[in-house]
Amino acid sequence: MPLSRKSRALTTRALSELQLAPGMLAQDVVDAVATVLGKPIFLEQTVDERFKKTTGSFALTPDFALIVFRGIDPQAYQMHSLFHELGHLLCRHRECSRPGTQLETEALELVLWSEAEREAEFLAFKIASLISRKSRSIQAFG
Amino acid sequence: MMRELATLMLYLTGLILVLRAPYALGVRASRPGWLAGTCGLIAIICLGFVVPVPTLDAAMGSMGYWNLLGATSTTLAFHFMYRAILIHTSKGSPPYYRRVLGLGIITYSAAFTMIAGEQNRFTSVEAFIAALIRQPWTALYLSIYLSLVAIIAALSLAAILSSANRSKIFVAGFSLVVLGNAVDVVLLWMQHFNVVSMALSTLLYSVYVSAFFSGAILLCLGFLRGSVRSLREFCTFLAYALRLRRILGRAGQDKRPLLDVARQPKIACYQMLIHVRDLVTLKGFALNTPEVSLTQKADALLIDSPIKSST
Repeated sequence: MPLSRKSRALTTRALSELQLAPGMLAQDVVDAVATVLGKPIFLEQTVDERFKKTTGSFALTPDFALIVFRGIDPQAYQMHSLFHELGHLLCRHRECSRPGTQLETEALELVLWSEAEREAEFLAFKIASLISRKSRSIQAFG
Repeated sequence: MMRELATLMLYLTGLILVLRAPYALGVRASRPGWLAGTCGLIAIICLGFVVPVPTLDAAMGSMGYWNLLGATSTTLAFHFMYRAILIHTSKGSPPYYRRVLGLGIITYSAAFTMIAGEQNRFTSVEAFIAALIRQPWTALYLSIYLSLVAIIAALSLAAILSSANRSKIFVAGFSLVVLGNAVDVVLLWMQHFNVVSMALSTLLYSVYVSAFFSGAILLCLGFLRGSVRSLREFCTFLAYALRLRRILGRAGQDKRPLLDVARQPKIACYQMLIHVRDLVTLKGFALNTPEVSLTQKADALLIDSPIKSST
């Protein structure tokens, strides 16, 4: 489902605030988002039973941001969940309502594709493709 | 020996031309490396081992300009190599570099035009030097050209040595080119003033040929190493992306356009892997054993370093 004009403007502005470069690692992206937010971001990889039903979540306090992501997921999926949560932070969303287990009703499908979730997901894919590109120094010989 | 080394160089520069073409066409930072290979190929052709010198000369108006074309394309090959090294090491060229390069090429070209004698009678570089080295313009032409190439090679070497990622193959290659050209400049002036014996002349010329050509071959291998690595990575991601595309097709999802996959296979591979994982996690889509293994391998391939909890 394509982004609305408003969401597109919001995500474009959020991306332009970040100084992303090809070849960056996930931690570099976290640091860049922390700079934009003006507060540190702490990461918590968890296998806690209570965290079974979501791939990731975030909490924003006056002093710091906390991102929790599910440790049982494959590495690339964990990274994507992290980028998704960073997308929420960049869009100044209040919460992440993305589920992490099988959808049982149509209502859940609607939650998954709410405007906020689509913005965060769009940013997650954008961040991944921006940092996946080869750096200029590698491009010189390849 | 020169023929064998030049033939090897010909194959290597030809390979650079073919392997790097896809990157050079699409990515600006890759172009200097590709242009270096192209100019190098022209320079080797001008040595006369592939196309005989008289044929080349006839094609260029029988004025002996094959020699100048060889010198200019060698200079430009090293210039583009230097540009590629600067991009690789994220450094800038020294001030006045372009002016010195332009002035150098103009000066040796002017010196070349002052050389007297019918140049169309020569069939090789060696014959050209042997017959005309006593003329000051010949000595000037060749020594300015060789010095300019040596200076560019030395600048490339300095850029490599001052970078964090010192490539041994480039250090050795540029050092040998500088050494070879320095030896040849000394030899040319000794020949010009007729103060060198035939035995010493042969020895010094052998030193020049082996140092310069082995250095240039090492540089080609250094350039090719990056291209081969990139090509291998491209093919690996393409293979994974195509297989993930098939899984998404089996799940009844819209298939991503093939051209899109082929243009950026790494990004396509990542995005499709996430979509497959979404289907598994959110919609209970079941992967068979080979598909599970494929997604695990793609996952390992995509992640350079795993994410860790903050300490």
